[in-house]
Amino acid sequence: MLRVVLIGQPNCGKSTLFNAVAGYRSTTGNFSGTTVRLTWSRVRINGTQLELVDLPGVYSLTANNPTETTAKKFLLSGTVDVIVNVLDASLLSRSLELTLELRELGLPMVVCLNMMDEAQRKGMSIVTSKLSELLALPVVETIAYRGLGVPELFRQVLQAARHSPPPAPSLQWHQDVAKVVQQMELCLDNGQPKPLLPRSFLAIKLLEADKEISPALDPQIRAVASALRKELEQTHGRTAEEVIMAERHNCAMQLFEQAATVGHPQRDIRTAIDRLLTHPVWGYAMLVLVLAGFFWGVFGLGATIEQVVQNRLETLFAQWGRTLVPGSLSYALARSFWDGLAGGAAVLLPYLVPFLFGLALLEDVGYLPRVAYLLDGLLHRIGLHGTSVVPIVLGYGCSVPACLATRVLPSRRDRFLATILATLVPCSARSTVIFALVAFYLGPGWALGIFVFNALVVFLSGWWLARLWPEVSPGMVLEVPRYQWPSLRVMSKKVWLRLREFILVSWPILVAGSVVLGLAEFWHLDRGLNAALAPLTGLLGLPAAVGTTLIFGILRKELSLLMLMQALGTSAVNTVMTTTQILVFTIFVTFYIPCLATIVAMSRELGRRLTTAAIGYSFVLATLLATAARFLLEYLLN
Amino acid sequence: MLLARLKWRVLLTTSKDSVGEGSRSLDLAPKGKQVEVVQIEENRDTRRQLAQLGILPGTVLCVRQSAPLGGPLLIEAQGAVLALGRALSRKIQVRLLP
Repeated sequence: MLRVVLIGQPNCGKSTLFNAVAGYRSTTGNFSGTTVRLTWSRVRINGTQLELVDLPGVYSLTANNPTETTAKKFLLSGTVDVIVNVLDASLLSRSLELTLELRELGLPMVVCLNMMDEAQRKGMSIVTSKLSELLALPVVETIAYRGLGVPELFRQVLQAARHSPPPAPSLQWHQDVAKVVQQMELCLDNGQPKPLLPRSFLAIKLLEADKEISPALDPQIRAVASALRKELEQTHGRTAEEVIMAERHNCAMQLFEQAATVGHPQRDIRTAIDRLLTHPVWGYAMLVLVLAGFFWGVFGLGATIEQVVQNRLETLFAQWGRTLVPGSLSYALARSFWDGLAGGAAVLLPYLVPFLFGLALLEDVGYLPRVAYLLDGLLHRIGLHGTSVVPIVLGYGCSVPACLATRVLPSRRDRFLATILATLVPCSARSTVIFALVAFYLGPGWALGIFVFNALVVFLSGWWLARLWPEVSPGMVLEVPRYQWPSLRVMSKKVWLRLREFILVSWPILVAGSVVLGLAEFWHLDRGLNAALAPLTGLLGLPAAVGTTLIFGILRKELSLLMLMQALGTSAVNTVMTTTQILVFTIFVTFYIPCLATIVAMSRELGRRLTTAAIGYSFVLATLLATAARFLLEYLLN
Repeated sequence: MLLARLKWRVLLTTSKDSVGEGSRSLDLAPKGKQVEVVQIEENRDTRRQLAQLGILPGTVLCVRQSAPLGGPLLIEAQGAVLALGRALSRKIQVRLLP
C-alpha cells in the first residue's frame, strides 16, 4: 500500500486537508518501526489504496522539540512513499525553507500551495508553473477548507508515486559554502558503508551538526565534518548551522522573488478585530467577556436540556418499573442499570456537548494563541513559559491531549510544570460535575466561584512549583495565526472524537459501575470500602457512602457524579447533602488524582517518577484544599 | 501625571538610541515601523528557533503591539505574526529602516 505523508509548518491547513480527504475514519495509533503515535487513515483514490499520515506541524527538520523529532524520525524511517508538503501560500517565502529541506530527502514529493485565497487577499500573485519549474517538483494550488484543488493534488500524488523523482537541483549556495558542501558530499561518497539516506541531505545535516544523524556515522566522516564546520565558522564568523540556515533562507527568498509578486493587500476586517482582541486594555476586557460568555452559554444550554431530559426519563422509568417490586433484587438491578443509562443521557451529555463545541470553536478560530500572548506577562512573573497557556487551556477540554500538547515546549521542566497545571484544571468531565452538581443545585454563581478558585490555585501552584524547580525559562516564541472561519465539519469531528470515547468507553463503564454499586449496596458490600475510606470522608465531612464514588472517579471523572447519585440513592443531591458538603465534594473531585487515561498519557510523556510526583501532589493538594474549604464554609455558612 | 510619565519614557528611549550607533533592542523599536535585525544575543537553540520563524540577521520585522506588565511583543516577520517574550526581544538588536 502507498504511504503518503502530509507535512508542513504549523497552521498551514494540513489537518483541514487531511480531514477533507480522510473524513471521520481517521485513527491514531502506533506504526511499526516507530514508537510515535500519529493520525492516519486509509483512503481509496481513483481505485488506489493510500495510507494517509498526518504528521505534526514542524518549521524545519532540525528537531528543536519532541514534535519535530517525531516528524523527522518518521520521514527518515524509509517507509514513506510520497511526501505532500503543505504550504500556507500567504507565507510562501518562509514555508519554502522547509520545502527545500524536504526536497533533499530525494523522495517523490508534491508541493501543495494551500490557502490560495489568503495569499490573494494579501495581494500576492504566485506563478505556480514557474515555482514548479524552479523547484523541479509538481506544485498544486488548493483551498483545503472548500475542497478546491484536492482531487488534482491526489492525482499528482499518484503520478509522483509511479515515477522516481528527478534529482533535486542543488541549492544556489554562495561559492565558499557550495565548496564546503561539495567536499562533504565527496567524503560521504568515498566512505564505507554507503549510507541509506541521500548524500546531499546527509552532507547538509552533518554540517549543521545534527544531533540525531551525526552520531550514527563513521568517526572518520565525523572528523571531516567537524573540520569543515570549523572552516565555515572561521570564514563567516557564526556557527556552521547558522550559515546553512541563512543560505537556505536566502534561497527561499530568491525562489519567492522569482515566482511571486506582492501587490496591495485587500482591506481585512480581521486586522481590526485583532487590534481589539490584543489591545493592552480592551484585549483583557474581551478575554473576560469571552470566557464569561462561554461559561454562561454552556451552563444555560446544559441546564435547560438536563431538566427536560431528566423529567422525561423519570416518567419513562416510572412506567417501565411499575411491574418491579421495590426492595427486590430485580428492582435494584433495573434501577441501577437505568440510573447509569439515564445519568449519561440526562446529566453528562447536556453539558459535555456544548462544552466541547465551545472549546473547539475557540481553538479553531485561533483565539488560544492570543490568550497566550495576553497572559504571558503574568505567567512569566510566576516563572512559567507563556506557551504553557495552550496546554493549560486545552486541559479544560481533556487532560490527555493537554499532556500531548506540552510537547511543543522546549524544556523538560516547562513540560512537567505545564502537565501538572493542565491536569489540575477541570477537564470537561470535571466541569460537567461542577455544572450538574454545583451550578444546578446551588446556582451558577457558586460554579463560577469554583472555576475562579481553581484558576487561582493553578496560578499559585505554578508559582510555587516554578520556585521548587528554578530554571530561567527561555522567552515565548509563538506564532499567532490569522483568525479563521471555523469549519463546522472539523469542529464536529473534534467533538465527535471525544464524544465517541464517552459513548463507547465511559458510558458502558458508567452503567456497569452503577450496577456493581447497586448490587454491592443490595448485599451491603460497599460498607467495607466506605469504612476503609472513612478517615478521608470523615476529614472532609462528607457522608461515608461517598467513599466508593471517589474510587470510581479515578477510573473516569464523570463517574464520580453519577456514582454519588447512585450511592446516595437519589438524583436530588441537595436533599441529602448540605451546601458545604456539595462544595467540598466538588473541590476534592476537581483536584484529586487525574483519571487513568491521563495517568497513562502522563507517564508516557514525563516518565514514572515525575508522574508519581504529579499524582501525589494533586492528592495532597485536593485533601488540603477540601479540608480547608470544609472548615471555612462551615464557619461562614452556619 | 500620565503625560509626564510619557515624556520621561520618550526621553529614555531616545537616550538609548544614541548608544549603539543607530541600533537598539527590538522592545524599544517604534510600533508600526520597519526594522532590520542586526544581531541576536541569544544561545544557539533560541537562535535556531528564531531563524526557523524568519528572524535572523538581515530580515525585516515590524512591531505591531506590546502586551502590558512586561508581556510579549506582537511582531510581523515574513508575513506571519509572532508573539515574542519581552526578555527575548531585548536581546534582538535592530536598526530602523528609512
